[in-house]
Amino acid sequence: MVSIRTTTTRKREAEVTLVRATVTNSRSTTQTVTVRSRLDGPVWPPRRNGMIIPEWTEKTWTAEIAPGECRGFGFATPAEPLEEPIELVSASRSTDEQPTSRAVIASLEEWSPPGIVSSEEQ
Amino acid sequence: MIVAVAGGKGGVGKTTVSLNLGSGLDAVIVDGDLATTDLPTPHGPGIHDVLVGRVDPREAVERVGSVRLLAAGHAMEGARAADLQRFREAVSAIERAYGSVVIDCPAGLAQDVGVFLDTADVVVLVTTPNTAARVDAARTREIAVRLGTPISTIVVNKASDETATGERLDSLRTAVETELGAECIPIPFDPAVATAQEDGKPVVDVEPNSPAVDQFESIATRIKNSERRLS
Repeated sequence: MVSIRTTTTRKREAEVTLVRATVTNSRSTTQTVTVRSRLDGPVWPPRRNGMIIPEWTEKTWTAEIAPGECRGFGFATPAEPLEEPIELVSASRSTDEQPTSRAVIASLEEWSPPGIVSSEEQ
Repeated sequence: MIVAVAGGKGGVGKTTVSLNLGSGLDAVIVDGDLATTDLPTPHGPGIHDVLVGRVDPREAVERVGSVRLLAAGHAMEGARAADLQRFREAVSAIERAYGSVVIDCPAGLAQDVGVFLDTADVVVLVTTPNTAARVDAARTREIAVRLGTPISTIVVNKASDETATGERLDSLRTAVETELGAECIPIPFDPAVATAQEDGKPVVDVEPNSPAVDQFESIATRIKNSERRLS
């Protein structure tokens, strides 16, 4: 099964709630897991190089989790905390290889042809 | 059936293998080296024109001697404008029209090679007995595995009975098969292979008695067999 553990901190003076969560996959196959914030307010997800990390789409977080592995994430929100800030939307065996291929290709060095081809190379 | 001929290191003989395999499989050879090709350059439109959407891929395939080729040439402007995402569609269209495609991948392991490996049904890895070439082949293999494209065969080019690293051919084969996890077929060093390559021809057209001809035939047979398993 897929289990979620959360910790919530309310920063009163900043009027912001910080949510941290871990999602554990105890099944024997890789699972594509989607969870959603139950909090009554927008999700402010973390950014990397100014870009929202790819796991987040509005209030949902989707990631692949290998068997026996655990993944963590967090976000901020102006909403008041709840006892269960995160709910599981879906967990299913990962079958779609397309995003994985895209991710593998994206991890490679960017392709650009050289500006000048020397006569030796020709 | 789409076969990617890849290896990482430059100068190991990827284009030679592509040319001979294209001939053996009666496939269209697609020049994936969009910047610094070693294959004959196109007389009409080439792959650059296909990738920017100017030409139907099937119309850009030309016959050069005994092989069919979608050539690249040295059109640098085209290479800059080329869209790798269109590559997959173009290769699929050629496969539907002609049956088999051999993609001659460039050296290195950048995103262009990633797209080619992902497009292919199987990969033929090319190396020489040289350690640096084998390390690069192993990196290419790892990416192919992560992309879910199986390795059909490892070709060790320029192999002689007693190789440069001092390994005998049998132990070289065993070492390469252990390192790279697929059957290894050595291509003996033969000047006829290089001469044919310079003329842009498969070795069978230039020196039909070369021992390399049999080896290229066995690679083609292996790929045809794996096609039966995949289909």
